[in-house]
Amino acid sequence: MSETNSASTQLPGAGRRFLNGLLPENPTLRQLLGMCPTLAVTNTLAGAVTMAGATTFVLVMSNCVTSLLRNLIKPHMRILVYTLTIAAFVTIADRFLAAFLPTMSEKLGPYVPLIVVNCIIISRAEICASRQGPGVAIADALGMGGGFLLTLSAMGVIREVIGFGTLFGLRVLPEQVTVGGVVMWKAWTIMILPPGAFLTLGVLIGVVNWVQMKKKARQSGGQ
Amino acid sequence: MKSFLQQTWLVIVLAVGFGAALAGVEHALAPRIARNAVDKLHGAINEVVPGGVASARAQGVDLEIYRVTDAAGRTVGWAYPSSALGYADNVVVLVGLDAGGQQIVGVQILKSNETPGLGDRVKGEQFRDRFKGKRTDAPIPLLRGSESDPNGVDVLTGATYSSRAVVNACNVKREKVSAIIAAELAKDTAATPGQGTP
Amino acid sequence: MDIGHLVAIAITAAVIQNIVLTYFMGICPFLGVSRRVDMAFGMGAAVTFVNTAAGVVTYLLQAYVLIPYHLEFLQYVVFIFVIAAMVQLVEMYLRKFFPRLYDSFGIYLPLITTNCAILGTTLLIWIKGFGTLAQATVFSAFVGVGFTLAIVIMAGIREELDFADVPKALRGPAITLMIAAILAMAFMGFAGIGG
Repeated sequence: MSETNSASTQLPGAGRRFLNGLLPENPTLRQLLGMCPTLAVTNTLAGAVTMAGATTFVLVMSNCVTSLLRNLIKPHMRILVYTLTIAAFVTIADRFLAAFLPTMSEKLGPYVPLIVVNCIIISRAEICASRQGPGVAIADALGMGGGFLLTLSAMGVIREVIGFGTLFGLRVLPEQVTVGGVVMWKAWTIMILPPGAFLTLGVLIGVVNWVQMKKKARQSGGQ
Repeated sequence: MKSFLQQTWLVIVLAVGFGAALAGVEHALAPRIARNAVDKLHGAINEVVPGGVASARAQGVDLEIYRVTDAAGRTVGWAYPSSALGYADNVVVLVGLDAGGQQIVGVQILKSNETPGLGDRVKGEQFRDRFKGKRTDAPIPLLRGSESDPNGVDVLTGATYSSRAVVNACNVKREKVSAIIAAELAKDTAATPGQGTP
Repeated sequence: MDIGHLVAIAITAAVIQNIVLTYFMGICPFLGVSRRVDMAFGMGAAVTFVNTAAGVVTYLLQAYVLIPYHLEFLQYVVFIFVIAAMVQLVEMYLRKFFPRLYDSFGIYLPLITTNCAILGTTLLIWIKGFGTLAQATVFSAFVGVGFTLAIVIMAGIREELDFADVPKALRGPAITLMIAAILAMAFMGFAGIGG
């Protein structure tokens, strides 16, 4: 027990964990975890937000359970326990979506059950929840979930606005702009299709890398 | 055995606990999920067969087909789901027929994974309305370019495969459906002489 | 259902609706293990093998155990454990009886449990509503073939990319995703073959 205590003094606290998840350790952009839903469900903002919500729910519950049981779990059994916990909460999230948001549940299709193999969740159980108390674990889950929501929303906004000209299904850009009989602008269907997903995420990761590089260059230049 | 239990008791307890929790959630939500599916189907049936208020699945036939009745209980039409391979995946179509099963009165797309903005447009009214009034005594041809046929359906430009899927879905069960409707209507006239559907 | 239908399922699964490039499943190994062609091929072979086995076993379980006893709500829990157990079994079996084969792709097996392509395939079999074991088997095998195809092509491109002058910020996953975008566009050209 004293070991756990001394270990947790060196581990980041609840506030740090929460903030880290949002941007510095953003699960998708920095750690490249959970790519599958990031690409698959972000052609509309509504899909992206629902997905992030479901994932955050599973993440919070799984971190909470893992943290409470952390002193009971035998090390070599831990992956089994994590997987069991995650699969159970994913099923619960999936059933609730099917019952209360049937259209969305149909649209998300296999990607809700695929939260089971979303590496973000198992990696948080391993890195944070299996070593720290439930308070920190929940803050960590909320931070990571928030970071996931941020990335998915960014993808969703970019792809829905350019691809459909809408946001949450409401029109924000004209479907077509014609100047003197020449079509100047038309929604880019490619953005809602798979290639648009790869392209948007590639560009986003590139931009984040570029910002980080600038920041690092400025810091080392100032010192 | 003892060490096995020492190692695994937590997993077993968790498995039983989660199993019970899932069964509870399922028990609480299953009726609602089932109702969502039924509501969706009935909503679609009411759209493809105008004037209907109730629908019931025909019993004793090896095909999913619904008889649509109006407020007075008279048969106003029939609806059945059918599917065909589209651009990449199956397109599931609900076909609405008139009371005699001789004409298509409406078509709805129940499920499709067609390309948004291209094949996806077969869901639009503009395309679906092309099926209204088509006879069911012969397969509906898909018309391309300058082809013409009074019983044909014009292809949706840029969505050839998806258009063909909807047409095929309307054709594939055609003969079987006609036979079932004829048999059901014959049963009606036998049961209530003089009051059967004309 | 006839052979023609099975061929259509196979072509659709392998190229038209490629698991990586249209369903985005198996992206992690696609980004991680696609640096060299031989590694990519080993990973692809391992995925195809496990995918086919998992597809068959989960199909039988769902059709003959879960559905008859109204336990469909346990689908996700059961499937993920079947896949995990299968990976373990395949690994042990290969190590014992086919050490040569194990040497060529055994190291990739542990990575497969968390490969969402496998769980995704077993779920897609039910979402797409395949009615027979033959269809499910062909589908899951050719999903694996499609995965291999995508990851090997990507590895081939990335081997060449080593000689290219990629902007610093885009090196690594960013440029890989952009190439994947172009690949996905190319694969869209296969559409319609299965119809």
